[in-house]
Amino acid sequence: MALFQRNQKLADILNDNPQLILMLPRFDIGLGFGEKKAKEVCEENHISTDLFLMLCNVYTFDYYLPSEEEIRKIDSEALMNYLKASHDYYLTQRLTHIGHHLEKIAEQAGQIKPMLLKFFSDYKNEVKRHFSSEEKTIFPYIQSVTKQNNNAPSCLNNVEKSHVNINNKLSELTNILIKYLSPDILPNERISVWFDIAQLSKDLAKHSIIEEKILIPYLRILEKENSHE
Amino acid sequence: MNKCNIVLIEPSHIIAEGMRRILESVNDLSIIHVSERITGIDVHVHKADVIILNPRVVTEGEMVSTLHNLRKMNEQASVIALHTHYESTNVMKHFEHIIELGNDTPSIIEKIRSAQTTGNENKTENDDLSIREKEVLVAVAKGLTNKEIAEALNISIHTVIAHRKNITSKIGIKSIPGLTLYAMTNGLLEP
Repeated sequence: MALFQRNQKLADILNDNPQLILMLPRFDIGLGFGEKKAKEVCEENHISTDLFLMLCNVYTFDYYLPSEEEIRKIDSEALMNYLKASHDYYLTQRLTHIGHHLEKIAEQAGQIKPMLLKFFSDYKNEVKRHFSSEEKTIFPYIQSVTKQNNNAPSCLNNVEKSHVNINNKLSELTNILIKYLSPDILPNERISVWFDIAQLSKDLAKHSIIEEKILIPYLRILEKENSHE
Repeated sequence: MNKCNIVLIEPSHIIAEGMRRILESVNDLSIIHVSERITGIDVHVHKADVIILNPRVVTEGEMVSTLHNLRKMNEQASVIALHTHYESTNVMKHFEHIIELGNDTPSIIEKIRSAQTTGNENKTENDDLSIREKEVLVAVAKGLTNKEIAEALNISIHTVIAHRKNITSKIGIKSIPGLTLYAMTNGLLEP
């Protein structure tokens, strides 16, 4: 399959990778777009078509990463809004949903219940802390670097490590739910939440790639350019 | 158990001879080669079941590539560190099995046996935790530090770290809350 192009119908892109439906609310694109092309939908919604397609391509093709030239031209404010919307989606929708499933499972897990709930709430808090630290440090940093302000200290380290942690814990949770909880505890519920966690984990992995391979290189390019002036 | 072929890489003649005496006291252990250095041993490494390596023969920076090369030469062989001088945690963390200068004969032999059975060949066949690993797991779940666990079980900190690594690679859980949950769901720990 070739990379998605601006003249392709949005509906066709979504058909090729149904996962991309998740992009729409994050870009504030409504449903009901009919036969419109990707670029038409983006223009109507005042979104950078380049950025939209770049992210759709990163989500869909594991081999694809944009070139330095493409990264340099990014609409950074749109990217920031997208990342922020993703954070909100993970926290308020996915993790809340998974939490409801887990409460039901924990209810049947006897003495393990408090520990299981604690594991998840600790995890949720860790994710919350990570997102809010990105929003409080990196996002304002984007604005100061794009305004050629050299005074702000670089804050780009540690992002990767934190991402690895967040995804590892999620896989621990799957291991516990599928491999180690007693077989008689709500098997259907556990299978269902397994899909939710697998989906979230995939989504988070791509989200990390966007931050590590697009956002941070973008900032490094700007840092370098600023220091030359 | 099949005969276990051992390659020993140890620069000190005294220690190498001592190890030879100890290992030859056991019928099915056989030292097929002793070398003072890491080079020129390929042909012996191919035949080895266990490689006992003193980390001193390799610089810290070359440790990763050395171990990688040994594994490439012989995927089935396990590597045991022979820990005679101070080495940083950065070096020792690469070893699952460690023989200390203070170990007595039975414990040296036990370590070789356990390295032999947890050799790469058998790793995928048996992912159940060993009794020792379960003890370490429970101690971690109870919130003990590596140092406290080492003291409680009378093993070195390096060995504790090696056990923790094995536990994680077997059950796919690394965090303390995750290990605690595992211990509870498997009846190793009272909730």
